Amino acid sequence: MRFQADLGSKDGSMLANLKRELEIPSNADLLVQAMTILRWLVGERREGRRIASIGDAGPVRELASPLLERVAPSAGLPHVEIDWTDEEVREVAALIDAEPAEPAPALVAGMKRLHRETADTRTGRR
Amino acid sequence: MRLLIRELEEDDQRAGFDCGDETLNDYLRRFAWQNQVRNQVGVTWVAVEGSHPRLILGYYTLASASISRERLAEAGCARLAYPEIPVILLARLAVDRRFQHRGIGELLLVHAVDRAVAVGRQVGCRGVVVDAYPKAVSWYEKFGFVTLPGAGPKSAAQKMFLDLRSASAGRRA
Repeated sequence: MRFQADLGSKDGSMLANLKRELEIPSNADLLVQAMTILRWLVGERREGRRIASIGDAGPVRELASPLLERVAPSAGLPHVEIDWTDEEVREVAALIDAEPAEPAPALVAGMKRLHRETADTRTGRR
Repeated sequence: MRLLIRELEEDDQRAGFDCGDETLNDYLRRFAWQNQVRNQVGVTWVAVEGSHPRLILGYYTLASASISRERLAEAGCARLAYPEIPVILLARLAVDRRFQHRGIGELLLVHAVDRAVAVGRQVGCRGVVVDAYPKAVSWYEKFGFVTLPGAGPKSAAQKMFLDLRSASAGRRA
């Protein structure tokens, strides 16, 4: 399988630095290693485990990536009752029976921004 | 400012939160934690910033809900193929006055939708419902929420609906 990616200069530098630091000879090797680690993270989070780093001193840092939260077990949202009018019920039923609308541009942009701007790590309890 | 959005924790600084709306302030200060832990009627997510990880910049609360088979029948939708319509209720969303107009509300809303899509993939869900203040209706519309007609005369809020199929497509785009 051939894999090609266009990276910005910042990400390109990060890639080069990672290869040098980790002594990984090729982009393909780096991709395989990164996938292995990501696969492990996804598996752990899917089973409900939280990902953290522990140092000899200082607080524990927990990884809190919106990406990994996509596979986390359901938050177990509690159930509440909503007071619907007949007209509201009919409208919701019609909406879910119809073809879905295209996602709003603001939602698409917001999703991208969410994953770009929210933090990857936090300090937490052990 | 690097934001983190996570579930509300007991040590978070809820008392000083002020979004300019006493109902929303009061909920976070007095009820959000106990509703999350003890009463199980909503899960609250908060936006914090790395250098002050206990200072709440904004929050939202989610719960699950549904339109039951009986309610569908009452409204004349008995021929619908679904036994019920499961939805996620975005019960509250607010940003502290000191941090408004920085796009934090947008990030919280999108995070809530992102969570709803993830939960929907696991347990089934057709949409996100919000009871919007009239002044916020156009803001929710910008993100694809549809205004539901027929609000009761006593209702101070406007019910709105976002189809999770659209939201899911937005996440993949």
